[in-house]
Amino acid sequence: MGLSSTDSFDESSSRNAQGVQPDHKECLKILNLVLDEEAGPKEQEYFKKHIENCMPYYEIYNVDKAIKELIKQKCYDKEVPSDLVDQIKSKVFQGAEE
Amino acid sequence: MSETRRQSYSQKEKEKTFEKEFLPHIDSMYNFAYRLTFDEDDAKDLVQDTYLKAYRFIESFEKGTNAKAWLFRILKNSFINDFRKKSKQPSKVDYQEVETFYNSEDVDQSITTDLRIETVQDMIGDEISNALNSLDVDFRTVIILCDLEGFKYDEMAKILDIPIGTVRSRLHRARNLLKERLSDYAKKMGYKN
Repeated sequence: MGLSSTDSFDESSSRNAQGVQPDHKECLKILNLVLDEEAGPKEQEYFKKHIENCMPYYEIYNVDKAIKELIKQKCYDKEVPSDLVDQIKSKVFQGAEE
Repeated sequence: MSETRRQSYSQKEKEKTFEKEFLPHIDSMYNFAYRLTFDEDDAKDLVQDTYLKAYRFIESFEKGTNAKAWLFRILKNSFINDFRKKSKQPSKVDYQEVETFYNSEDVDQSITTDLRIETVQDMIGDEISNALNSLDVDFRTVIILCDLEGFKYDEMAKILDIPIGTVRSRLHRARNLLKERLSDYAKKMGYKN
Protein backbone atom coordinates (compact mmCIF):
# COMPACT_ATOMS: atom_id res chain seq x y z
CA MET A 1 0.00 0.00 0.00
CA GLY A 2 2.83 2.30 0.93
CA LEU A 3 4.28 1.90 -2.54
CA SER A 4 1.27 3.48 -4.19
CA SER A 5 2.79 6.78 -3.22
CA THR A 6 5.47 6.21 -5.83
CA ASP A 7 2.99 6.02 -8.71
CA SER A 8 3.59 9.53 -9.78
CA PHE A 9 7.31 9.16 -9.61
CA ASP A 10 9.01 9.35 -12.93
CA GLU A 11 12.57 8.21 -13.18
CA SER A 12 13.32 10.41 -16.16
CA SER A 13 12.77 13.47 -14.03
CA SER A 14 15.36 12.12 -11.67
CA ARG A 15 17.86 12.36 -14.51
CA ASN A 16 16.68 15.87 -15.23
CA ALA A 17 17.62 16.81 -11.73
CA GLN A 18 21.25 16.44 -12.63
CA GLY A 19 20.85 19.06 -15.33
CA VAL A 20 20.28 22.76 -15.02
CA GLN A 21 16.48 22.63 -15.05
CA PRO A 22 15.20 20.62 -12.10
CA ASP A 23 11.58 19.52 -12.17
CA HIS A 24 9.89 21.50 -9.41
CA LYS A 25 6.49 19.91 -9.87
CA GLU A 26 7.85 16.46 -9.24
CA CYS A 27 9.75 17.74 -6.27
CA LEU A 28 6.67 19.33 -4.75
CA LYS A 29 4.84 16.03 -4.95
CA ILE A 30 7.65 14.28 -3.14
CA LEU A 31 8.27 16.93 -0.49
CA ASN A 32 5.50 15.77 1.84
CA LEU A 33 6.47 12.13 1.37
CA VAL A 34 10.01 12.89 2.48
CA LEU A 35 8.79 15.04 5.34
CA ASP A 36 6.50 12.28 6.60
CA GLU A 37 9.03 9.49 6.05
CA GLU A 38 6.81 7.91 3.42
CA ALA A 39 9.19 8.27 0.49
CA GLY A 40 10.96 5.29 -1.05
CA PRO A 41 14.76 5.29 -1.50
CA LYS A 42 14.53 6.56 -5.12
CA GLU A 43 12.26 9.41 -4.14
CA GLN A 44 14.51 10.36 -1.26
CA GLU A 45 17.54 10.35 -3.50
CA TYR A 46 15.75 12.44 -6.12
CA PHE A 47 14.58 14.92 -3.53
CA LYS A 48 18.00 15.22 -1.93
CA LYS A 49 19.61 15.96 -5.28
CA HIS A 50 16.94 18.48 -6.13
CA ILE A 51 17.17 20.55 -2.98
CA GLU A 52 20.95 20.64 -3.17
CA ASN A 53 20.55 22.85 -6.22
CA CYS A 54 17.30 24.57 -5.44
CA MET A 55 17.26 27.22 -2.74
CA PRO A 56 13.48 27.86 -2.67
CA TYR A 57 12.71 24.18 -2.17
CA TYR A 58 15.46 23.81 0.37
CA GLU A 59 13.79 26.59 2.34
CA ILE A 60 10.27 25.24 1.95
CA TYR A 61 11.40 21.84 3.14
CA ASN A 62 13.10 23.30 6.18
CA VAL A 63 10.15 25.52 7.05
CA ASP A 64 7.76 22.57 6.75
CA LYS A 65 10.04 20.45 8.87
CA ALA A 66 10.31 23.16 11.53
CA ILE A 67 6.52 23.53 11.64
CA LYS A 68 6.08 19.78 11.95
CA GLU A 69 8.51 19.68 14.85
CA LEU A 70 6.89 22.68 16.50
CA ILE A 71 3.47 21.05 16.31
CA LYS A 72 4.86 18.00 18.03
CA GLN A 73 6.41 20.05 20.79
CA LYS A 74 3.65 22.58 21.37
CA CYS A 75 0.30 21.06 20.55
CA TYR A 76 0.27 18.21 22.99
CA ASP A 77 -0.92 20.33 25.80
CA LYS A 78 -4.10 18.90 27.30
CA GLU A 79 -3.71 16.94 30.45
CA VAL A 80 -6.13 14.08 30.96
CA PRO A 81 -8.48 14.80 33.91
CA SER A 82 -7.21 12.75 36.82
CA ASP A 83 -10.48 10.93 37.41
CA LEU A 84 -11.11 9.92 33.80
CA VAL A 85 -9.31 6.56 33.81
CA ASP A 86 -11.11 5.46 36.97
CA GLN A 87 -14.47 6.58 35.63
CA ILE A 88 -13.92 4.66 32.42
CA LYS A 89 -12.76 1.54 34.23
CA SER A 90 -15.66 1.55 36.62
CA LYS A 91 -18.17 1.97 33.78
CA VAL A 92 -16.57 -0.63 31.57
CA PHE A 93 -16.01 -3.31 34.17
CA GLN A 94 -19.21 -2.67 36.07
CA GLY A 95 -21.12 -3.00 32.80
CA ALA A 96 -19.30 -6.22 32.04
CA GLU A 97 -20.28 -7.87 35.27
CA GLU A 98 -23.96 -7.15 34.92
CA MET B 1 -10.20 -2.93 9.54
CA SER B 2 -13.86 -2.92 8.63
CA GLU B 3 -14.00 -6.57 7.62
CA THR B 4 -12.03 -8.02 10.47
CA ARG B 5 -12.75 -11.52 11.58
CA ARG B 6 -14.34 -11.65 14.98
CA GLN B 7 -11.84 -12.61 17.62
CA SER B 8 -12.64 -14.68 20.62
CA TYR B 9 -11.60 -13.29 23.97
CA SER B 10 -12.03 -14.76 27.41
CA GLN B 11 -13.20 -12.32 30.07
CA LYS B 12 -9.64 -12.17 31.42
CA GLU B 13 -8.19 -11.48 27.99
CA LYS B 14 -10.71 -8.71 27.41
CA GLU B 15 -9.72 -6.99 30.60
CA LYS B 16 -6.04 -7.44 29.91
CA THR B 17 -6.30 -6.08 26.36
CA PHE B 18 -8.31 -3.15 27.60
CA GLU B 19 -5.84 -2.29 30.33
CA LYS B 20 -2.60 -3.02 28.49
CA GLU B 21 -3.42 -2.05 24.92
CA PHE B 22 -6.25 0.47 25.04
CA LEU B 23 -5.84 2.55 28.20
CA PRO B 24 -2.19 3.55 27.58
CA HIS B 25 -3.41 5.70 24.64
CA ILE B 26 -5.64 7.85 26.80
CA ASP B 27 -3.38 10.92 26.64
CA SER B 28 -3.41 10.96 22.85
CA MET B 29 -7.13 10.24 22.76
CA TYR B 30 -7.98 13.06 25.14
CA ASN B 31 -5.74 15.52 23.35
CA PHE B 32 -7.33 14.59 20.01
CA ALA B 33 -10.84 14.79 21.48
CA TYR B 34 -10.13 18.21 22.92
CA ARG B 35 -8.79 19.52 19.62
CA LEU B 36 -11.94 18.29 17.92
CA THR B 37 -14.45 19.67 20.42
CA PHE B 38 -12.61 22.56 22.13
CA ASP B 39 -14.50 21.73 25.30
CA GLU B 40 -13.12 19.79 28.26
CA ASP B 41 -16.42 18.14 29.19
CA ASP B 42 -17.17 17.16 25.62
CA ALA B 43 -13.64 15.80 25.22
CA LYS B 44 -14.08 13.75 28.36
CA ASP B 45 -17.43 12.38 27.20
CA LEU B 46 -16.03 11.59 23.79
CA VAL B 47 -13.08 9.67 25.21
CA GLN B 48 -15.28 7.82 27.66
CA ASP B 49 -17.72 6.94 24.95
CA THR B 50 -14.89 5.70 22.74
CA TYR B 51 -13.55 3.41 25.45
CA LEU B 52 -16.99 2.01 26.21
CA LYS B 53 -17.49 1.22 22.54
CA ALA B 54 -14.00 -0.24 22.28
CA TYR B 55 -14.77 -2.63 25.10
CA ARG B 56 -18.20 -3.50 23.79
CA PHE B 57 -16.83 -4.28 20.34
CA ILE B 58 -13.52 -5.75 21.46
CA GLU B 59 -14.16 -8.90 19.39
CA SER B 60 -13.65 -6.87 16.26
CA PHE B 61 -10.22 -5.74 17.42
CA GLU B 62 -7.71 -8.03 15.79
CA LYS B 63 -5.09 -9.09 18.29
CA GLY B 64 -1.63 -7.85 17.49
CA THR B 65 -2.80 -5.00 15.26
CA ASN B 66 -2.46 -1.31 15.94
CA ALA B 67 -4.75 -0.56 18.89
CA LYS B 68 -4.11 3.16 18.74
CA ALA B 69 -5.30 3.44 15.12
CA TRP B 70 -8.35 1.33 15.96
CA LEU B 71 -9.24 3.56 18.90
CA PHE B 72 -8.71 6.74 16.90
CA ARG B 73 -11.06 5.42 14.26
CA ILE B 74 -13.79 4.81 16.84
CA LEU B 75 -13.23 8.24 18.36
CA LYS B 76 -13.39 9.96 14.98
CA ASN B 77 -16.63 8.13 14.09
CA SER B 78 -18.18 8.96 17.47
CA PHE B 79 -17.28 12.57 16.96
CA ILE B 80 -18.90 12.68 13.53
CA ASN B 81 -22.01 10.76 14.56
CA ASP B 82 -22.68 12.11 18.02
CA PHE B 83 -20.79 15.27 18.69
CA ARG B 84 -20.64 17.16 15.48
CA LYS B 85 -24.42 17.53 15.46
CA LYS B 86 -24.64 19.07 18.87
CA SER B 87 -21.31 20.84 18.78
CA LYS B 88 -21.29 24.34 20.18
CA GLN B 89 -18.87 25.43 17.53
CA PRO B 90 -20.04 27.54 14.63
CA SER B 91 -21.26 25.25 11.90
CA LYS B 92 -18.61 23.83 9.66
CA VAL B 93 -18.23 23.84 5.96
CA ASP B 94 -20.43 21.16 4.49
CA TYR B 95 -18.47 17.93 4.31
CA GLN B 96 -19.35 17.16 0.72
CA GLU B 97 -18.39 20.63 -0.31
CA VAL B 98 -15.01 20.23 1.29
CA GLU B 99 -14.38 16.93 -0.45
CA THR B 100 -15.31 18.37 -3.83
CA PHE B 101 -12.93 21.14 -3.13
CA TYR B 102 -10.08 18.72 -2.42
CA ASN B 103 -10.80 16.68 -5.43
CA SER B 104 -10.61 19.63 -7.73
CA GLU B 105 -7.01 19.10 -6.73
CA ASP B 106 -4.87 21.51 -8.64
CA VAL B 107 -2.64 20.69 -5.74
CA ASP B 108 -1.24 24.15 -5.45
CA GLN B 109 1.77 24.31 -7.65
CA SER B 110 2.62 27.67 -6.25
CA ILE B 111 4.64 28.32 -3.17
CA THR B 112 1.93 29.57 -0.88
CA THR B 113 3.71 31.55 1.74
CA ASP B 114 6.79 33.53 2.30
CA LEU B 115 7.35 32.14 5.78
CA ARG B 116 10.98 31.93 6.72
CA ILE B 117 12.54 29.36 8.98
CA GLU B 118 13.74 32.03 11.43
CA THR B 119 10.16 33.27 11.79
CA VAL B 120 8.88 29.77 12.51
CA GLN B 121 11.60 29.17 15.05
CA ASP B 122 10.70 32.40 16.84
CA MET B 123 7.17 31.23 17.44
CA ILE B 124 6.74 30.17 21.00
CA GLY B 125 3.77 27.87 20.90
CA ASP B 126 0.47 29.66 21.16
CA GLU B 127 0.71 30.80 17.58
CA ILE B 128 1.07 27.31 16.22
CA SER B 129 -1.62 25.93 18.49
CA ASN B 130 -4.06 28.72 17.59
CA ALA B 131 -3.30 28.38 13.90
CA LEU B 132 -3.96 24.65 14.09
CA ASN B 133 -7.21 25.21 15.98
CA SER B 134 -8.38 27.74 13.41
CA LEU B 135 -8.35 25.18 10.59
CA ASP B 136 -11.53 23.46 9.50
CA VAL B 137 -11.92 20.20 11.40
CA ASP B 138 -11.02 17.95 8.44
CA PHE B 139 -7.78 19.79 7.81
CA ARG B 140 -7.02 19.98 11.51
CA THR B 141 -7.55 16.26 11.86
CA VAL B 142 -5.00 15.21 9.22
CA ILE B 143 -2.34 17.40 10.76
CA ILE B 144 -3.02 16.03 14.23
CA LEU B 145 -2.92 12.44 13.01
CA CYS B 146 0.20 12.89 10.94
CA ASP B 147 2.36 15.43 12.74
CA LEU B 148 1.25 15.08 16.32
CA GLU B 149 0.47 11.38 16.52
CA GLY B 150 2.85 10.10 13.85
CA PHE B 151 0.36 7.91 11.98
CA LYS B 152 1.44 6.70 8.54
CA TYR B 153 -0.64 7.54 5.47
CA ASP B 154 -2.16 4.06 5.23
CA GLU B 155 -3.19 4.18 8.89
CA MET B 156 -4.73 7.62 8.38
CA ALA B 157 -6.64 6.32 5.38
CA LYS B 158 -8.16 3.61 7.57
CA ILE B 159 -8.91 5.93 10.46
CA LEU B 160 -10.62 8.44 8.19
CA ASP B 161 -12.14 6.01 5.68
CA ILE B 162 -10.67 7.82 2.72
CA PRO B 163 -8.20 6.76 -0.01
CA ILE B 164 -4.48 7.42 0.49
CA GLY B 165 -4.55 9.91 -2.39
CA THR B 166 -7.11 11.97 -0.49
CA VAL B 167 -5.01 11.76 2.67
CA ARG B 168 -2.10 13.21 0.71
CA SER B 169 -4.00 16.01 -0.97
CA ARG B 170 -5.83 16.93 2.22
CA LEU B 171 -2.58 17.01 4.15
CA HIS B 172 -0.93 19.13 1.49
CA ARG B 173 -3.81 21.59 1.52
CA ALA B 174 -3.93 21.62 5.34
CA ARG B 175 -0.24 22.46 5.55
CA ASN B 176 -0.59 25.31 3.11
CA LEU B 177 -3.52 26.73 5.07
CA LEU B 178 -1.58 26.41 8.29
CA LYS B 179 1.33 28.28 6.75
CA GLU B 180 -0.98 31.02 5.53
CA ARG B 181 -2.33 31.45 9.06
CA LEU B 182 1.17 31.51 10.53
CA SER B 183 2.30 33.96 7.92
CA ASP B 184 -0.64 36.29 8.67
CA TYR B 185 0.18 36.03 12.30
CA ALA B 186 3.84 36.78 11.72
CA LYS B 187 2.91 39.88 9.73
CA LYS B 188 0.57 41.12 12.44
CA MET B 189 3.22 40.65 15.05
CA GLY B 190 5.71 42.52 12.92
CA TYR B 191 8.06 39.63 12.35
CA LYS B 192 10.25 40.26 9.37
CA ASN B 193 9.14 38.00 6.57
